[in-house]
Amino acid sequence: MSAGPGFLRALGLVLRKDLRVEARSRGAATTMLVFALLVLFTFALAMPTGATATADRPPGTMPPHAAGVLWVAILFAAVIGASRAYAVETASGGLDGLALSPADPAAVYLGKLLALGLELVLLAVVIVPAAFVLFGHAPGSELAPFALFAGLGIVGIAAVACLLGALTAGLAGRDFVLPLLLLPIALPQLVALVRGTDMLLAGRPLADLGDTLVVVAAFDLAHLAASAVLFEFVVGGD
Amino acid sequence: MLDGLALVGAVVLVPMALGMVAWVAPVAQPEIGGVAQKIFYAHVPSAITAFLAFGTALVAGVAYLRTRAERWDALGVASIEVGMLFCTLVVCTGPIWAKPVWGVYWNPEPRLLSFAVMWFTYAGYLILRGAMDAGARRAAVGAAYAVVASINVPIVYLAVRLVPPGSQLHPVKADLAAPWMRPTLYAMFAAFGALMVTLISVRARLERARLALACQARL
Repeated sequence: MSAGPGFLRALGLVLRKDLRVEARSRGAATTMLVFALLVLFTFALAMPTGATATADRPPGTMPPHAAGVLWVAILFAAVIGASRAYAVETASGGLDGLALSPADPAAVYLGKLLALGLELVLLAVVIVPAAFVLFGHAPGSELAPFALFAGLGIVGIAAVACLLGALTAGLAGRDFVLPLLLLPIALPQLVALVRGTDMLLAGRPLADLGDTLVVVAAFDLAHLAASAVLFEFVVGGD
Repeated sequence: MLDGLALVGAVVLVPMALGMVAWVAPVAQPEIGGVAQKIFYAHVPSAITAFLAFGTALVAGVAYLRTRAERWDALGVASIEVGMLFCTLVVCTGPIWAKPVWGVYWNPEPRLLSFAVMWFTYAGYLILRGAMDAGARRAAVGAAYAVVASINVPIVYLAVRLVPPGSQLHPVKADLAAPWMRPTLYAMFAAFGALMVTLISVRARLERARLALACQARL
């Protein structure tokens, strides 16, 4: 077997590298944040219902499409994040370096996944309250199960985003092709997340989610496993 | 040999099946569409054929990643192109059938939704492939994406059932009580199956030739 770094060590190295690159890049993480906020705000303006309570719905509840808008914003941010995670690599030949390194490709993949996942979680910590404000939701005890559910959802989104980012790394049209691939693949997760968000923010307990949780869990597990295996095939150069 | 058989099958079965649809199958009752119900004979076999084609793409993708043999890459792109053909047919014939029967072209119900999602997913494959030059990376990337897309299909199946139904309009079990309806449907299944195999094998052969030329051009 190779004498390279062990699995966890390789994972940690890649994770720290990605986070460090993020932290040192100029306003790079804020691009994702501002864009997600912009998406939220644009939809809030474009939709007829506003933050104030209307006669149709009790005060403190969001309009019907708010959950959808929230998760679309997060998904678009994931596209940007994945695109940049690999732009950095291709610019300096880092992808070839990753491919050639003796580290287990699955460890490299998981390192990148954790970095992107962490960024998306931090983003969500800002975006979700912003959505609550924009769409008029009064948070209460349902925040904890919602946070857990959202975390699970973000893991799945980050998993496919990381693989598809690697697939499209170095492509001239990457900025078009990556969202074109990510959005259809992430659609089932999006549907489940929106439905689960609606139910949880309405106060239903986590256990009521049933099939929604099954979809999220299936998506996460299937894509984590597949991507960890497929990653090594897609980082190698021609 | 398989493609020879499939070609003969297609040449024989397609006209026969279409003839059955036109002249043998009875016109259905107005509640299920009258003459428009006959679209069902194209719609359902297209759906099955699309699934088969995309399933072939999964096999080809896995096989390519294990063997790195070009013919699996050729089979992959061929099956996805043919699958897209039938998937497009499903997504088009569905609304055409729906309008006279239910009054709306589009109803967010599970089956139509899952085919629409599949359409976008595999369209992505074709766009991805178009964006890359021929080579080992394009083949590996395509194979990996085909695997991811296929893994997603059962999850899409589960997820579209979460969408709140407009109203469950799609017939779960088509009423095939009238005489000659079943044989016509089976004939169309066979015809579409033979057509699929023929189209995929022709397209795969074309792709192998293209890849060989591309290889030579670079030498």
